[in-house]
Amino acid sequence: MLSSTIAVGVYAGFLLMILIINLLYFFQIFRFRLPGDASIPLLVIHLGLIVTILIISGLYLTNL
Amino acid sequence: MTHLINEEVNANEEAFLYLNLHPDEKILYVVRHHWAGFVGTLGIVFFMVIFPILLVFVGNLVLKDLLTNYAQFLVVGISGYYLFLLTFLFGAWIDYYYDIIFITGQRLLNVNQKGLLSREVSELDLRQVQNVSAQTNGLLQTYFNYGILIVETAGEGTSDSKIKGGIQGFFSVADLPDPNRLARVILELRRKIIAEEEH
Repeated sequence: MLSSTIAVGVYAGFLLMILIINLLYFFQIFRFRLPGDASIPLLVIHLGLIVTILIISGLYLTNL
Repeated sequence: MTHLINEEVNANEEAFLYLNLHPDEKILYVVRHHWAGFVGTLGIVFFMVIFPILLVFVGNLVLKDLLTNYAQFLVVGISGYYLFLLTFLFGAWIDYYYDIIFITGQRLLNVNQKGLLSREVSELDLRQVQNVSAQTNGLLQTYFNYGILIVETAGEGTSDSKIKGGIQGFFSVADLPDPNRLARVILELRRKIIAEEEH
């Protein structure tokens, strides 16, 4: 029980770190992108892949 | 030159404000690194993507019971690994894509993205240009026509490459598309500026 609580805590901390880094990417892109460049489409694809991974892993864990 | 954005660049847009252009200065060309310069990173990421798939495949053959007992830890570990990988890849892409060269009617501005929150803008007055040369090395660079642009200057040098560091009097940028044509564009602009000053 304790070990799984620790694991959840570590994973939550990791997800928070990933979230902060991606927010920094957001800032970077909206500050320095040039009109008409590929930044926004790539950002959308990147966020789509991240959400897909989170949903798939969440579904697996709830079905286990 | 399809890689050069030279149509109706409005230098007064917010995106260009950090360049601190002179009032009468116009951006003529915007040059990014060639996509082939990012292939090495993509190759590494590709192997990192297939590594856990292979690991699970082999583990399923050898240690099936163990994997079944610890399935939830495995799912969390693998999803965390892919989240990290995606974040790393996107960071590397920003590092590559946000290295930009702006050629204006007066200057050459090299914006060098360094990691996540650090960027360096070095500028070179086109009148200081003494010589421009282009280097393409290897099969990939020769086939896709990209390489290093080296501008010899009368001022301080700079470089975006750790391997090919900037030395005094040299301004070098790696992985630029069509570097020979770019060199000619810079020389023609320099000639035009000097001709205008003489008249």
